Amino acid sequence: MEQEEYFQKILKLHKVDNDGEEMKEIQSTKEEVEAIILGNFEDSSPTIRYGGSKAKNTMIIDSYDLDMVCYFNHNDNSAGTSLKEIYENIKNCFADNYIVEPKKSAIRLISKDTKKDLHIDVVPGRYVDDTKTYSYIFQAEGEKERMKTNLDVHIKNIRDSGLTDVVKLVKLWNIRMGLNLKTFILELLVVKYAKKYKDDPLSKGLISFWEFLRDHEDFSIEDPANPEGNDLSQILNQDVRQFLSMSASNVMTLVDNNNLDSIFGSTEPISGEEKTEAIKTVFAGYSDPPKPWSSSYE
Amino acid sequence: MSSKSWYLDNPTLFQQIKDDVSRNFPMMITFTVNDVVLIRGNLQLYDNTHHEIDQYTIEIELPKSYPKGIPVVREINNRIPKIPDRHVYDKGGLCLFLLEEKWKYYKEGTSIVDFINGPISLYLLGQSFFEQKGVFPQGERSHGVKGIVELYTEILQTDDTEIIKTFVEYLCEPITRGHWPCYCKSGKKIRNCHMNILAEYRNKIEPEIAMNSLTYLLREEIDSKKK
Repeated sequence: MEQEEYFQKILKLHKVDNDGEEMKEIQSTKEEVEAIILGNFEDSSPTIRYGGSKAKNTMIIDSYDLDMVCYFNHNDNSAGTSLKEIYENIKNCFADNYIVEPKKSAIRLISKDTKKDLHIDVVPGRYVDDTKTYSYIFQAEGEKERMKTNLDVHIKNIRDSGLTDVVKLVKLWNIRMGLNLKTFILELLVVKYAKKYKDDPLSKGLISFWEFLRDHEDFSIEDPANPEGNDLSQILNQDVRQFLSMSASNVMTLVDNNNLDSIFGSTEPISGEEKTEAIKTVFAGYSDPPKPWSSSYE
Repeated sequence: MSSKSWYLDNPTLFQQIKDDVSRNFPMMITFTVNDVVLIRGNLQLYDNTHHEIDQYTIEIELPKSYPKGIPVVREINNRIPKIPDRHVYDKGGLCLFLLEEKWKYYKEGTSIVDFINGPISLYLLGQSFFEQKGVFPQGERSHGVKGIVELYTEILQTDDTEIIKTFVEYLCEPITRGHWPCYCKSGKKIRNCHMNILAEYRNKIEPEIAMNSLTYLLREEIDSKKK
């Protein structure tokens, strides 16, 4: 199979179906979340909207977290005077309906009934001024307690890059390899270093990006919304860059050997029934296969 | 003993592991973090005709005493629930088999490639089967002490917990004395009774592992007396 055909098929397999069950569940939770915020802060009119991969058009089924920002007007103190208070008050307003898991700037929502992760992160913040372009968000960790950002700049930078399909497959690679790199870092890397391939086929952009990572360890990124203020070099430190470079080198060996199925798997996954039959056949070759155990009863 | 990590003491072995992993599992990478050797990435599972069945993202942490000790294996994409019924510890470690069965599934000299192709792949295939059918095709050990008793029941052909406990106690001892009463409660000296079975399993089960199981057995005994 040709490279382009392979990567296009993989992309299709991992596409998020907007009418699928996961998205329907997310949409319905989003509406519920909006209602809870507006119900708790009736005198306010915060801006509640999608951020993250949904807005950037880079969602894949393997990583379909939904970021929702909730920004209060710059002179609105109804949710708190400080960013920390806003963060805490937004977090507390979900306490009756969800299990909340505080993250660095976001609040992750988990179902109270099923304990299921709802894949929704709410990011509270406050606009810097009336223009509603820049906002401050609270940071629970790190040196600075607040970060200045511009959601539209971030979204536009990725969504309009012409590289969203490359980003989707790089995200899949990140997940499959266990690179554990934050999605926005990968997105910024792709947009910066694969920019010249934005009008080329997907395979060209993707492979060129991997080639770049393989051949360099000195790459860097800047936050397009606040290049001076937000230092991303700590996240993309030398160990991370080296690991990325090694991983890219491995994947490029597969590309060079035309061993594409080993990168993201087969483009024709087997059905559940075929899978169980195949597994039975594998186990039939073992007279005494290891049986899993667990030290705990609970 | 050297205070250096094993991979610094034995760079040839480390390089061999790196080469073997990258040759056999091209989407996996061997690297070090805080003096710990990790192998991480995507493991594709195939049937006997090399058709892909499934794939998992895993991390293998080699013990600091490597090649001694059993590597810790984790599934890192949150696909397998971290619950005892799926044989996963809270922190994500997979319970591949009972430690007592190390001699069968991770005997001395087992390479990382064999470990991945054997117990790890079989465990993950079992998980894929469980997702479809709700059972493990290879069977499973009961949780906790019950699983340990099951294993010794198979070895000794009895579920008498007194016999099992004495057998495990003997495995914990550094040497066997022939005049000890046989664990089987026959009243004979062990040298005139089941010495051969004890000797066989002393070669297979390390005293530290037996000690771990003895702790479980004694705890269970105390708990049942309380009841």
